[in-house]
Amino acid sequence: MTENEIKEKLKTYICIEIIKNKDYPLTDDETMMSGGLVDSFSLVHIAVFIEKEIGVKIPDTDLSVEKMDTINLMTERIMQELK
Amino acid sequence: MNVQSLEFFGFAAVVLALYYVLPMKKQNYLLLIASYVFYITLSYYFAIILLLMTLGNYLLGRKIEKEKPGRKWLLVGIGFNLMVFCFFKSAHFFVPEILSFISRLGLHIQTGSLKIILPIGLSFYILQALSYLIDVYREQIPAGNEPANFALYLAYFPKLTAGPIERAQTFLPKLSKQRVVDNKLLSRSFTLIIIGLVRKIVIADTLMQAVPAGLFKNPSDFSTMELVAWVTALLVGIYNDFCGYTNIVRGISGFFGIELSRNFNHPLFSRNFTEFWNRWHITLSLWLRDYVYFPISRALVRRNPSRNNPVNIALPPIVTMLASGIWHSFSPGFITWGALMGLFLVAERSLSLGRPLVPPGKKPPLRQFLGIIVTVSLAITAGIFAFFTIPNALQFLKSLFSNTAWVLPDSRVFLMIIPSLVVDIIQYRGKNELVFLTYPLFIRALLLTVALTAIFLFSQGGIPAPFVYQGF
Repeated sequence: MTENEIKEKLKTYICIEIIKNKDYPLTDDETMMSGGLVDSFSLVHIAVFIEKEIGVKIPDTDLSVEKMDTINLMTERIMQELK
Repeated sequence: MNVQSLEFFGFAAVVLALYYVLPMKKQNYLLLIASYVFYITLSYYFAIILLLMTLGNYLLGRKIEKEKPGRKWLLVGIGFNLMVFCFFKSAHFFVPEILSFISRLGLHIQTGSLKIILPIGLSFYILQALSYLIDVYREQIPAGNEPANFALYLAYFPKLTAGPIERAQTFLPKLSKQRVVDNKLLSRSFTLIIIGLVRKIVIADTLMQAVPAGLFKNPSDFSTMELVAWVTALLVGIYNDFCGYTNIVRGISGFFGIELSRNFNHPLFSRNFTEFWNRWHITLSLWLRDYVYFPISRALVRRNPSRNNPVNIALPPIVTMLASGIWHSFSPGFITWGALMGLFLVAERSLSLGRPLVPPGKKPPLRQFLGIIVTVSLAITAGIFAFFTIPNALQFLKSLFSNTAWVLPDSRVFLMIIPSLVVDIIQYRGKNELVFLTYPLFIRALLLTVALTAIFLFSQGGIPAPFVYQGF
Protein backbone atom coordinates (compact mmCIF):
# COMPACT_ATOMS: atom_id res chain seq x y z
CA MET A 1 0.00 0.00 0.00
CA THR A 2 1.41 3.42 -0.93
CA GLU A 3 1.62 6.42 1.39
CA ASN A 4 -1.14 8.23 -0.53
CA GLU A 5 -3.45 5.22 -0.37
CA ILE A 6 -2.95 5.06 3.41
CA LYS A 7 -3.73 8.76 3.73
CA GLU A 8 -6.92 8.42 1.69
CA LYS A 9 -8.08 5.39 3.71
CA LEU A 10 -7.46 7.22 6.99
CA LYS A 11 -9.20 10.41 5.82
CA THR A 12 -12.27 8.56 4.57
CA TYR A 13 -12.58 6.56 7.80
CA ILE A 14 -12.04 9.58 10.06
CA CYS A 15 -14.48 11.84 8.17
CA ILE A 16 -17.25 9.24 7.96
CA GLU A 17 -16.89 7.35 11.22
CA ILE A 18 -15.30 9.81 13.63
CA ILE A 19 -16.33 13.30 12.48
CA LYS A 20 -19.61 12.02 10.97
CA ASN A 21 -19.33 14.47 8.11
CA LYS A 22 -18.05 13.01 4.84
CA ASP A 23 -17.63 16.49 3.36
CA TYR A 24 -15.34 17.69 6.18
CA PRO A 25 -12.27 19.30 4.54
CA LEU A 26 -9.69 17.29 6.50
CA THR A 27 -6.16 18.24 5.47
CA ASP A 28 -3.01 16.16 5.90
CA ASP A 29 -1.61 18.46 8.56
CA GLU A 30 -4.79 19.34 10.51
CA THR A 31 -4.13 18.74 14.21
CA MET A 32 -6.92 16.33 15.11
CA MET A 33 -6.03 15.41 18.71
CA SER A 34 -4.87 18.81 19.93
CA GLY A 35 -7.67 20.42 17.89
CA GLY A 36 -10.38 18.39 19.66
CA LEU A 37 -11.50 16.31 16.65
CA VAL A 38 -10.06 13.02 17.88
CA ASP A 39 -10.15 11.96 21.54
CA SER A 40 -8.94 8.77 23.25
CA PHE A 41 -12.18 6.92 22.42
CA SER A 42 -11.87 7.74 18.70
CA LEU A 43 -8.13 7.08 18.70
CA VAL A 44 -8.70 3.48 19.78
CA HIS A 45 -11.15 3.03 16.90
CA ILE A 46 -8.58 4.48 14.47
CA ALA A 47 -5.88 2.16 15.90
CA VAL A 48 -8.11 -0.90 15.45
CA PHE A 49 -9.04 0.30 11.93
CA ILE A 50 -5.32 0.55 11.08
CA GLU A 51 -4.77 -2.96 12.51
CA LYS A 52 -7.61 -4.47 10.47
CA GLU A 53 -7.32 -2.55 7.20
CA ILE A 54 -3.58 -1.93 6.93
CA GLY A 55 -2.27 -4.75 9.10
CA VAL A 56 -0.12 -2.55 11.34
CA LYS A 57 -0.33 -2.52 15.15
CA ILE A 58 0.52 0.83 16.67
CA PRO A 59 1.53 0.32 20.34
CA ASP A 60 -0.66 2.00 22.98
CA THR A 61 2.14 4.29 24.12
CA ASP A 62 2.49 5.60 20.54
CA LEU A 63 -1.16 6.65 20.39
CA SER A 64 -0.04 10.14 21.37
CA VAL A 65 -0.27 13.69 20.12
CA GLU A 66 3.41 13.53 19.11
CA LYS A 67 2.84 10.54 16.83
CA MET A 68 -0.83 10.58 15.81
CA ASP A 69 -2.00 14.20 15.78
CA THR A 70 -2.24 14.61 11.99
CA ILE A 71 -2.85 12.41 8.94
CA ASN A 72 0.81 12.99 8.01
CA LEU A 73 2.05 11.81 11.44
CA MET A 74 -0.26 8.76 11.43
CA THR A 75 0.94 7.80 7.95
CA GLU A 76 4.57 8.31 8.93
CA ARG A 77 4.10 6.03 11.96
CA ILE A 78 2.39 3.35 9.83
CA MET A 79 5.12 3.54 7.16
CA GLN A 80 7.76 2.96 9.87
CA GLU A 81 6.11 -0.37 10.67
CA LEU A 82 5.67 -1.32 7.00
CA LYS A 83 9.37 -0.79 6.19
CA MET B 1 12.59 19.46 53.76
CA ASN B 2 9.67 20.97 51.86
CA VAL B 3 10.08 21.71 48.15
CA GLN B 4 9.21 25.41 48.56
CA SER B 5 11.42 25.85 51.66
CA LEU B 6 14.69 27.76 51.76
CA GLU B 7 16.44 24.56 52.94
CA PHE B 8 15.38 22.78 49.75
CA PHE B 9 16.60 25.61 47.53
CA GLY B 10 19.88 25.67 49.49
CA PHE B 11 20.22 21.90 49.07
CA ALA B 12 19.49 22.14 45.32
CA ALA B 13 22.07 24.97 44.99
CA VAL B 14 24.81 22.87 46.66
CA VAL B 15 23.99 19.87 44.43
CA LEU B 16 23.98 22.15 41.39
CA ALA B 17 27.40 23.61 42.24
CA LEU B 18 28.89 20.10 42.51
CA TYR B 19 26.99 18.97 39.39
CA TYR B 20 28.62 21.53 37.12
CA VAL B 21 32.16 20.51 38.04
CA LEU B 22 31.62 16.79 37.41
CA PRO B 23 31.72 14.83 34.13
CA MET B 24 28.40 13.47 32.82
CA LYS B 25 28.58 9.93 34.18
CA LYS B 26 29.51 11.17 37.64
CA GLN B 27 26.72 13.75 37.46
CA ASN B 28 24.21 10.89 37.45
CA TYR B 29 25.82 9.35 40.55
CA LEU B 30 25.74 12.74 42.24
CA LEU B 31 22.04 13.18 41.46
CA LEU B 32 21.34 9.67 42.76
CA ILE B 33 23.19 10.27 46.03
CA ALA B 34 21.53 13.70 46.39
CA SER B 35 18.10 12.15 45.78
CA TYR B 36 18.60 9.60 48.54
CA VAL B 37 20.00 12.25 50.91
CA PHE B 38 16.90 14.35 50.22
CA TYR B 39 14.63 11.35 50.83
CA ILE B 40 16.44 10.44 54.06
CA THR B 41 15.74 13.96 55.35
CA LEU B 42 12.06 13.01 55.09
CA SER B 43 12.58 9.53 56.60
CA TYR B 44 15.31 6.88 56.33
CA TYR B 45 12.47 4.32 56.29
CA PHE B 46 11.15 5.85 53.01
CA ALA B 47 14.65 5.54 51.50
CA ILE B 48 14.93 1.85 52.44
CA ILE B 49 11.59 1.06 50.81
CA LEU B 50 12.57 2.99 47.66
CA LEU B 51 15.88 1.11 47.52
CA LEU B 52 14.13 -2.26 47.82
CA MET B 53 11.55 -1.29 45.17
CA THR B 54 14.35 -0.16 42.86
CA LEU B 55 16.28 -3.41 43.25
CA GLY B 56 13.15 -5.54 42.82
CA ASN B 57 11.98 -3.72 39.70
CA TYR B 58 15.41 -3.58 38.08
CA LEU B 59 15.91 -7.34 38.52
CA LEU B 60 12.40 -8.01 37.22
CA GLY B 61 13.04 -5.80 34.18
CA ARG B 62 16.21 -7.77 33.39
CA LYS B 63 14.36 -11.05 33.82
CA ILE B 64 11.52 -9.93 31.50
CA GLU B 65 14.04 -8.93 28.84
CA LYS B 66 16.09 -12.13 29.17
CA GLU B 67 13.20 -14.59 29.08
CA LYS B 68 11.33 -13.27 26.06
CA PRO B 69 8.39 -12.84 26.00
CA GLY B 70 8.73 -12.75 29.81
CA ARG B 71 4.98 -12.65 30.48
CA LYS B 72 5.37 -14.63 33.69
CA TRP B 73 7.89 -12.13 35.08
CA LEU B 74 5.79 -9.19 33.95
CA LEU B 75 2.85 -10.58 35.94
CA VAL B 76 5.16 -11.11 38.94
CA GLY B 77 6.32 -7.50 38.55
CA ILE B 78 2.80 -6.09 38.32
CA GLY B 79 1.73 -8.23 41.29
CA PHE B 80 4.77 -7.15 43.33
CA ASN B 81 4.18 -3.43 42.74
CA LEU B 82 0.43 -3.64 43.29
CA MET B 83 0.92 -5.61 46.51
CA VAL B 84 3.31 -3.01 47.92
CA PHE B 85 0.99 -0.22 46.77
CA CYS B 86 -2.11 -1.87 48.30
CA PHE B 87 -0.29 -2.72 51.53
CA PHE B 88 0.79 0.85 52.23
CA LYS B 89 -2.35 2.50 50.86
CA SER B 90 -4.69 0.18 52.79
CA ALA B 91 -2.63 0.47 55.98
CA HIS B 92 -2.68 4.25 55.55
CA PHE B 93 -6.47 4.25 55.21
CA PHE B 94 -7.79 1.18 57.07
CA VAL B 95 -5.55 1.05 60.19
CA PRO B 96 -6.70 4.48 61.50
CA GLU B 97 -10.31 3.51 60.65
CA ILE B 98 -10.01 0.20 62.54
CA LEU B 99 -8.32 1.88 65.51
CA SER B 100 -11.02 4.53 65.65
CA PHE B 101 -13.69 1.81 65.55
CA ILE B 102 -11.97 -0.11 68.38
CA SER B 103 -11.71 3.02 70.49
CA ARG B 104 -15.42 3.76 69.85
CA LEU B 105 -16.13 0.32 71.31
CA GLY B 106 -14.45 1.52 74.48
CA LEU B 107 -11.38 -0.71 74.08
CA HIS B 108 -7.99 0.90 74.53
CA ILE B 109 -5.01 -0.69 72.84
CA GLN B 110 -1.42 0.39 72.34
CA THR B 111 -1.40 1.81 68.81
CA GLY B 112 2.24 2.90 68.34
CA SER B 113 3.36 -0.37 66.73
CA LEU B 114 0.36 -0.41 64.38
CA LYS B 115 1.16 2.87 62.68
CA ILE B 116 2.28 2.26 59.10
CA ILE B 117 3.16 5.47 57.32
CA LEU B 118 2.60 5.74 53.57
CA PRO B 119 6.03 6.62 52.12
CA ILE B 120 5.82 10.04 50.45
CA GLY B 121 6.04 9.62 46.69
CA LEU B 122 5.36 5.86 46.69
CA SER B 123 2.21 6.16 44.55
CA PHE B 124 4.20 8.17 42.00
CA TYR B 125 7.31 6.01 41.69
CA ILE B 126 5.28 2.77 41.62
CA LEU B 127 3.52 3.97 38.45
CA GLN B 128 6.93 4.79 36.94
CA ALA B 129 8.22 1.31 37.85
CA LEU B 130 5.12 -0.33 36.34
CA SER B 131 5.41 1.56 33.05
CA TYR B 132 9.11 0.54 32.90
CA LEU B 133 8.26 -3.17 33.30
CA ILE B 134 5.40 -3.03 30.77
CA ASP B 135 7.50 -1.14 28.20
CA VAL B 136 10.40 -3.61 28.62
CA TYR B 137 7.90 -6.45 28.10
CA ARG B 138 6.53 -4.76 24.97
CA GLU B 139 10.15 -4.38 23.77
CA GLN B 140 9.73 -0.63 23.52
CA ILE B 141 12.72 -0.01 25.78
CA PRO B 142 15.72 -2.11 26.84
CA ALA B 143 15.95 -3.08 30.52
CA GLY B 144 19.28 -1.24 30.52
CA ASN B 145 22.71 -2.09 31.85
CA GLU B 146 22.98 0.88 34.16
CA PRO B 147 21.31 0.11 37.49
CA ALA B 148 22.29 3.58 38.73
CA ASN B 149 20.37 5.23 35.88
CA PHE B 150 17.30 3.13 36.64
CA ALA B 151 17.63 3.99 40.34
CA LEU B 152 17.84 7.67 39.41
CA TYR B 153 14.76 7.34 37.17
CA LEU B 154 12.74 6.33 40.25
CA ALA B 155 14.51 8.51 42.83
CA TYR B 156 15.35 11.77 41.00
CA PHE B 157 14.75 14.26 43.81
CA PRO B 158 12.89 17.06 41.99
CA LYS B 159 10.11 14.64 41.00
CA LEU B 160 10.35 12.11 43.84
CA THR B 161 7.65 13.30 46.23
CA ALA B 162 4.78 14.16 43.87
CA GLY B 163 5.80 13.67 40.26
CA PRO B 164 5.53 14.56 37.41
CA ILE B 165 5.14 10.86 36.54
CA GLU B 166 7.85 10.40 33.92
CA ARG B 167 8.27 7.44 31.54
CA ALA B 168 11.46 5.39 31.30
CA GLN B 169 11.15 5.69 27.51
CA THR B 170 11.72 9.45 27.64
CA PHE B 171 13.54 9.90 30.96
CA LEU B 172 16.33 7.28 30.70
CA PRO B 173 17.70 8.60 27.37
CA LYS B 174 18.12 12.02 29.03
CA LEU B 175 20.47 10.40 31.56
CA SER B 176 22.64 8.83 28.88
CA LYS B 177 23.50 11.99 26.98
CA GLN B 178 25.28 15.23 27.74
CA ARG B 179 22.90 17.76 29.23
CA VAL B 180 22.98 21.22 27.70
CA VAL B 181 22.01 24.09 29.99
CA ASP B 182 21.94 27.28 27.95
CA ASN B 183 20.69 30.75 28.82
CA LYS B 184 17.31 29.99 27.29
CA LEU B 185 16.77 26.96 29.53
CA LEU B 186 18.03 28.87 32.57
CA SER B 187 15.58 31.74 32.02
CA ARG B 188 12.72 29.30 31.38
CA SER B 189 13.57 27.38 34.54
CA PHE B 190 13.89 30.51 36.66
CA THR B 191 10.53 31.80 35.38
CA LEU B 192 8.87 28.46 36.14
CA ILE B 193 10.16 28.60 39.73
CA ILE B 194 8.87 32.16 40.23
CA ILE B 195 5.42 31.32 38.79
CA GLY B 196 5.37 28.16 40.93
CA LEU B 197 6.21 30.04 44.13
CA VAL B 198 3.52 32.65 43.40
CA ARG B 199 0.95 29.91 42.77
CA LYS B 200 1.92 28.00 45.92
CA ILE B 201 2.81 30.62 48.54
CA VAL B 202 0.71 33.59 47.44
CA ILE B 203 -2.41 31.94 46.00
CA ALA B 204 -2.77 28.32 47.18
CA ASP B 205 -1.65 28.70 50.81
CA THR B 206 -3.79 31.82 51.31
CA LEU B 207 -6.87 30.14 49.86
CA MET B 208 -6.40 26.85 51.71
CA GLN B 209 -5.74 28.58 55.05
CA ALA B 210 -8.84 30.73 54.59
CA VAL B 211 -11.16 27.72 54.23
CA PRO B 212 -12.88 27.31 57.62
CA ALA B 213 -12.31 23.94 59.36
CA GLY B 214 -16.02 23.84 60.21
CA LEU B 215 -16.83 23.51 56.52
CA PHE B 216 -15.66 19.87 56.54
CA LYS B 217 -17.46 18.96 59.77
CA ASN B 218 -20.72 20.90 59.56
CA PRO B 219 -21.41 22.12 56.02
CA SER B 220 -25.03 22.76 57.03
CA ASP B 221 -23.82 25.77 59.08
CA PHE B 222 -23.01 27.62 55.85
CA SER B 223 -25.20 29.41 53.30
CA THR B 224 -25.39 28.38 49.64
CA MET B 225 -23.19 31.29 48.59
CA GLU B 226 -20.56 30.48 51.20
CA LEU B 227 -20.56 26.79 50.25
CA VAL B 228 -20.11 27.60 46.56
CA ALA B 229 -17.37 30.12 47.35
CA TRP B 230 -15.43 27.85 49.73
CA VAL B 231 -15.58 24.77 47.56
CA THR B 232 -14.46 26.84 44.56
CA ALA B 233 -11.65 28.20 46.74
CA LEU B 234 -10.66 24.60 47.57
CA LEU B 235 -10.55 23.60 43.90
CA VAL B 236 -8.58 26.70 42.87
CA GLY B 237 -6.34 26.22 45.94
CA ILE B 238 -5.55 22.58 45.11
CA TYR B 239 -4.98 23.47 41.46
CA ASN B 240 -2.51 26.23 42.33
CA ASP B 241 -0.86 24.08 45.00
CA PHE B 242 -0.15 21.18 42.64
CA CYS B 243 0.51 23.33 39.56
CA GLY B 244 2.84 25.49 41.70
CA TYR B 245 4.69 22.41 42.96
CA THR B 246 5.11 21.08 39.41
CA ASN B 247 6.38 24.45 38.15
CA ILE B 248 8.94 24.66 40.96
CA VAL B 249 10.33 21.15 40.45
CA ARG B 250 10.36 21.54 36.65
CA GLY B 251 12.28 24.77 37.13
CA ILE B 252 14.80 23.21 39.50
CA SER B 253 15.24 20.21 37.21
CA GLY B 254 15.80 22.56 34.27
CA PHE B 255 18.91 23.90 36.02
CA PHE B 256 20.30 20.34 35.84
CA GLY B 257 19.47 20.21 32.12
CA ILE B 258 16.73 17.62 32.65
CA GLU B 259 13.34 18.90 31.50
CA LEU B 260 10.35 17.34 33.26
CA SER B 261 6.84 16.98 31.85
CA ARG B 262 4.11 19.54 32.24
CA ASN B 263 1.25 18.51 34.54
CA PHE B 264 -1.34 21.26 34.02
CA ASN B 265 -2.64 23.13 31.01
CA HIS B 266 -5.31 25.50 32.38
CA PRO B 267 -7.83 22.83 33.43
CA LEU B 268 -10.30 25.44 34.69
CA PHE B 269 -10.87 26.52 31.07
CA SER B 270 -11.91 23.01 29.96
CA ARG B 271 -15.05 22.98 27.81
CA ASN B 272 -15.79 19.30 28.44
CA PHE B 273 -14.51 16.40 30.56
CA THR B 274 -12.33 14.97 27.81
CA GLU B 275 -10.50 18.30 27.74
CA PHE B 276 -10.44 18.45 31.54
CA TRP B 277 -8.53 15.16 31.79
CA ASN B 278 -6.12 16.30 29.08
CA ARG B 279 -5.38 19.38 31.17
CA TRP B 280 -5.45 18.26 34.86
CA HIS B 281 -2.58 16.16 36.29
CA ILE B 282 -1.59 15.35 32.71
CA THR B 283 1.16 12.83 33.50
CA LEU B 284 -1.24 10.72 35.62
CA SER B 285 -4.01 11.00 32.99
CA LEU B 286 -1.62 9.91 30.24
CA TRP B 287 -0.32 7.00 32.35
CA LEU B 288 -3.87 5.81 33.03
CA ARG B 289 -4.79 6.30 29.38
CA ASP B 290 -1.81 4.29 28.07
CA TYR B 291 -1.80 1.45 30.60
CA VAL B 292 -5.47 1.12 31.63
CA TYR B 293 -7.83 2.84 29.16
CA PHE B 294 -6.20 1.89 25.85
CA PRO B 295 -5.66 -1.84 26.59
CA ILE B 296 -9.26 -2.28 27.82
CA SER B 297 -10.77 -0.15 25.06
CA ARG B 298 -8.68 -1.75 22.29
CA ALA B 299 -9.63 -5.28 23.42
CA LEU B 300 -13.32 -4.31 23.44
CA VAL B 301 -13.21 -2.54 20.05
CA ARG B 302 -11.42 -5.52 18.46
CA ARG B 303 -14.32 -7.74 19.58
CA ASN B 304 -17.00 -5.29 18.50
CA PRO B 305 -15.88 -2.24 16.47
CA SER B 306 -19.25 -0.45 16.77
CA ARG B 307 -18.87 3.09 18.11
CA ASN B 308 -22.36 2.85 19.60
CA ASN B 309 -21.72 -0.29 21.63
CA PRO B 310 -22.64 0.59 25.26
CA VAL B 311 -19.86 -1.57 26.74
CA ASN B 312 -17.23 0.07 24.50
CA ILE B 313 -18.50 3.47 25.61
CA ALA B 314 -18.96 2.86 29.34
CA LEU B 315 -16.49 0.28 30.61
CA PRO B 316 -13.07 1.84 29.74
CA PRO B 317 -13.71 5.33 31.23
CA ILE B 318 -15.41 3.97 34.35
CA VAL B 319 -12.61 1.46 35.07
CA THR B 320 -9.96 4.10 34.32
CA MET B 321 -11.48 6.74 36.57
CA LEU B 322 -12.09 4.21 39.36
CA ALA B 323 -8.39 3.31 39.09
CA SER B 324 -7.61 7.01 39.37
CA GLY B 325 -9.79 7.28 42.51
CA ILE B 326 -8.11 4.23 44.09
CA TRP B 327 -4.66 5.57 43.19
CA HIS B 328 -5.48 8.74 45.17
CA SER B 329 -6.90 6.90 48.19
CA PHE B 330 -8.78 3.79 49.25
CA SER B 331 -11.38 6.00 50.95
CA PRO B 332 -15.02 5.61 49.81
CA GLY B 333 -15.02 9.35 49.01
CA PHE B 334 -12.23 9.08 46.43
CA ILE B 335 -13.74 5.93 44.92
CA THR B 336 -17.06 7.80 44.57
CA TRP B 337 -15.18 10.72 43.00
CA GLY B 338 -13.60 8.34 40.47
CA ALA B 339 -16.94 6.70 39.68
CA LEU B 340 -18.60 10.10 39.16
CA MET B 341 -15.78 11.28 36.86
CA GLY B 342 -16.16 8.06 34.86
CA LEU B 343 -19.92 8.57 34.59
CA PHE B 344 -19.46 12.17 33.43
CA LEU B 345 -17.17 10.95 30.63
CA VAL B 346 -19.70 8.26 29.64
CA ALA B 347 -22.56 10.79 29.64
CA GLU B 348 -20.52 13.21 27.51
CA ARG B 349 -19.71 10.47 24.99
CA SER B 350 -23.30 9.20 24.89
CA LEU B 351 -24.72 12.68 24.27
CA SER B 352 -22.45 13.22 21.26
CA LEU B 353 -23.26 9.89 19.56
CA GLY B 354 -24.42 10.10 15.95
CA ARG B 355 -23.94 13.87 15.70
CA PRO B 356 -21.39 15.51 13.38
CA LEU B 357 -18.37 16.33 15.50
CA VAL B 358 -17.52 19.97 16.11
CA PRO B 359 -14.26 20.62 18.02
CA PRO B 360 -14.87 22.61 21.25
CA GLY B 361 -12.76 25.50 19.93
CA LYS B 362 -15.00 25.90 16.87
CA LYS B 363 -18.28 26.11 18.81
CA PRO B 364 -19.94 29.55 19.35
CA PRO B 365 -18.27 31.49 22.22
CA LEU B 366 -21.40 31.32 24.41
CA ARG B 367 -21.51 27.51 24.11
CA GLN B 368 -17.82 27.32 24.94
CA PHE B 369 -18.39 29.47 28.02
CA LEU B 370 -21.38 27.37 29.12
CA GLY B 371 -19.27 24.25 28.55
CA ILE B 372 -16.62 25.63 30.93
CA ILE B 373 -19.24 26.48 33.59
CA VAL B 374 -20.88 23.02 33.39
CA THR B 375 -17.54 21.15 33.36
CA VAL B 376 -16.02 23.06 36.28
CA SER B 377 -19.28 22.87 38.30
CA LEU B 378 -19.50 19.11 37.84
CA ALA B 379 -15.78 18.69 38.59
CA ILE B 380 -16.36 20.60 41.84
CA THR B 381 -19.42 18.46 42.65
CA ALA B 382 -17.36 15.28 42.22
CA GLY B 383 -14.53 16.91 44.18
CA ILE B 384 -16.85 17.39 47.18
CA PHE B 385 -16.79 13.60 47.63
CA ALA B 386 -12.99 13.64 47.58
CA PHE B 387 -12.65 16.54 50.02
CA PHE B 388 -15.36 15.44 52.49
CA THR B 389 -16.54 12.21 54.10
CA ILE B 390 -19.53 10.75 52.23
CA PRO B 391 -22.15 11.74 54.87
CA ASN B 392 -20.71 15.29 55.01
CA ALA B 393 -20.56 15.46 51.19
CA LEU B 394 -24.25 14.54 51.04
CA GLN B 395 -25.01 17.07 53.77
CA PHE B 396 -23.02 19.63 51.75
CA LEU B 397 -25.09 18.98 48.62
CA LYS B 398 -28.32 19.13 50.61
CA SER B 399 -27.31 22.43 52.26
CA LEU B 400 -26.37 23.83 48.87
CA PHE B 401 -30.06 23.87 47.92
CA SER B 402 -31.60 24.63 51.31
CA ASN B 403 -29.49 27.28 53.12
CA THR B 404 -30.22 30.02 50.64
CA ALA B 405 -29.77 32.93 53.07
CA TRP B 406 -27.87 35.88 51.52
CA VAL B 407 -24.51 35.71 53.33
CA LEU B 408 -21.46 37.01 51.51
CA PRO B 409 -18.40 34.78 51.63
CA ASP B 410 -14.97 35.81 52.89
CA SER B 411 -13.43 38.44 50.59
CA ARG B 412 -10.08 36.52 50.57
CA VAL B 413 -11.74 33.97 48.26
CA PHE B 414 -12.20 36.56 45.52
CA LEU B 415 -8.90 38.29 46.21
CA MET B 416 -6.98 35.09 45.54
CA ILE B 417 -9.14 33.48 42.84
CA ILE B 418 -8.76 36.61 40.69
CA PRO B 419 -4.91 36.53 40.47
CA SER B 420 -5.09 32.80 39.72
CA LEU B 421 -7.50 33.49 36.86
CA VAL B 422 -5.42 36.44 35.60
CA VAL B 423 -2.22 34.30 35.40
CA ASP B 424 -4.19 31.53 33.66
CA ILE B 425 -5.86 33.90 31.17
CA ILE B 426 -2.51 35.51 30.25
CA GLN B 427 -0.86 32.10 29.70
CA TYR B 428 -3.91 30.71 27.86
CA ARG B 429 -4.26 33.67 25.52
CA GLY B 430 -0.52 33.69 24.87
CA LYS B 431 -0.67 29.91 24.19
CA ASN B 432 2.52 29.67 26.25
CA GLU B 433 2.96 29.12 29.98
CA LEU B 434 6.14 31.22 29.75
CA VAL B 435 4.52 34.02 27.75
CA PHE B 436 5.97 36.50 30.30
CA LEU B 437 9.41 35.90 28.77
CA THR B 438 8.23 37.49 25.52
CA TYR B 439 7.41 40.80 27.27
CA PRO B 440 9.72 43.86 27.02
CA LEU B 441 12.54 43.94 29.60
CA PHE B 442 10.98 46.75 31.64
CA ILE B 443 7.66 44.86 32.05
CA ARG B 444 9.50 41.64 32.94
CA ALA B 445 11.53 43.48 35.61
CA LEU B 446 8.35 45.03 37.00
CA LEU B 447 6.52 41.67 37.10
CA LEU B 448 9.51 39.98 38.76
CA THR B 449 9.66 42.69 41.44
CA VAL B 450 5.93 42.35 42.15
CA ALA B 451 6.19 38.53 42.26
CA LEU B 452 9.24 38.48 44.56
CA THR B 453 7.68 41.07 46.89
CA ALA B 454 4.43 39.07 47.07
CA ILE B 455 6.34 35.80 47.72
CA PHE B 456 8.36 37.51 50.47
CA LEU B 457 5.30 39.10 52.13
CA PHE B 458 3.13 35.97 51.96
CA SER B 459 5.88 33.65 53.21
CA GLN B 460 6.12 35.58 56.48
CA GLY B 461 3.09 33.73 57.87
CA GLY B 462 5.11 30.87 59.41
CA ILE B 463 5.95 27.31 58.39
CA PRO B 464 4.97 26.70 54.75
CA ALA B 465 2.10 24.26 54.25
CA PRO B 466 3.11 20.94 52.65
CA PHE B 467 1.96 20.26 49.10
CA VAL B 468 -1.43 18.54 48.97
CA TYR B 469 -0.32 15.89 46.47
CA GLN B 470 2.55 14.73 48.71
CA GLY B 471 -0.26 13.16 50.74
CA PHE B 472 -1.02 10.71 47.92
